[in-house]
Amino acid sequence: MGTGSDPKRGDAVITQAPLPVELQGQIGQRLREAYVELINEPVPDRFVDLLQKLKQREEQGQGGKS
Amino acid sequence: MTKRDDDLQSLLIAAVPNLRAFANSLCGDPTRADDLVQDTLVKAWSNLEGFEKGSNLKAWLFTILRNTYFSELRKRRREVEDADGAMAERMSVLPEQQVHMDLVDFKKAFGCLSDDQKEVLLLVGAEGFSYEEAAEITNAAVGTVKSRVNRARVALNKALGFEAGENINPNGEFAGITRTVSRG
Repeated sequence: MGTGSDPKRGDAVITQAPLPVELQGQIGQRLREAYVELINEPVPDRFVDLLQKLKQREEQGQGGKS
Repeated sequence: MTKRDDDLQSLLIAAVPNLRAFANSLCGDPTRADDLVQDTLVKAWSNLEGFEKGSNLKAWLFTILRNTYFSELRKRRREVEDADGAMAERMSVLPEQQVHMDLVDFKKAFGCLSDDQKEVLLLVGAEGFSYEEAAEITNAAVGTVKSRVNRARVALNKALGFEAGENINPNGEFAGITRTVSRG
């Protein structure tokens, strides 16, 4: 995806000293807690239904698609 | 020969909780997040030729999702501020639990980050992608990703007033770092 075109471009952007590892850890922990809450939300049926439909459409239309 | 077998279907389904969490954290609007995930699944399904077998399916899906999000965002620029506000509210669930108060503060602070910072922090810090993978997904240089992650962490730290030595390692050598409390 064209990311390797200019590796130097981003390296020059680092201007701020990194946060101490310990503080990074505290932030990372909170981030993961918040994120896991979202991941653990039940998945609505619409997504299973959607993939089922896509698959059915694929099976019905096989050969007719370029 | 069909690539679209049950196996792939279950792989896509398995990725949905993560895609939803990522979308939700990015846009802060659960309805829009689910629309984003739906668009992502449809695009993934109809562009399977674009997926290199053996490469990281999850990274590919995340790439589609964030590209969809940012291209929509460019069309709907005026809604950015609303979305950021909604993010803080959206993530402020379970207020009755004391133990979650820290998390509520965190979510509010997270909602104040720029989209660029949010996405790389989520990819690296929450999803566990490497800097290189995150760079690939966001179509940015690795150094840019590292810089964004660091700035995001610094901004969160400032907003939350974390102090080195707190909780994790009371005898740590960073204990002398001054507590910084955001007044913004």
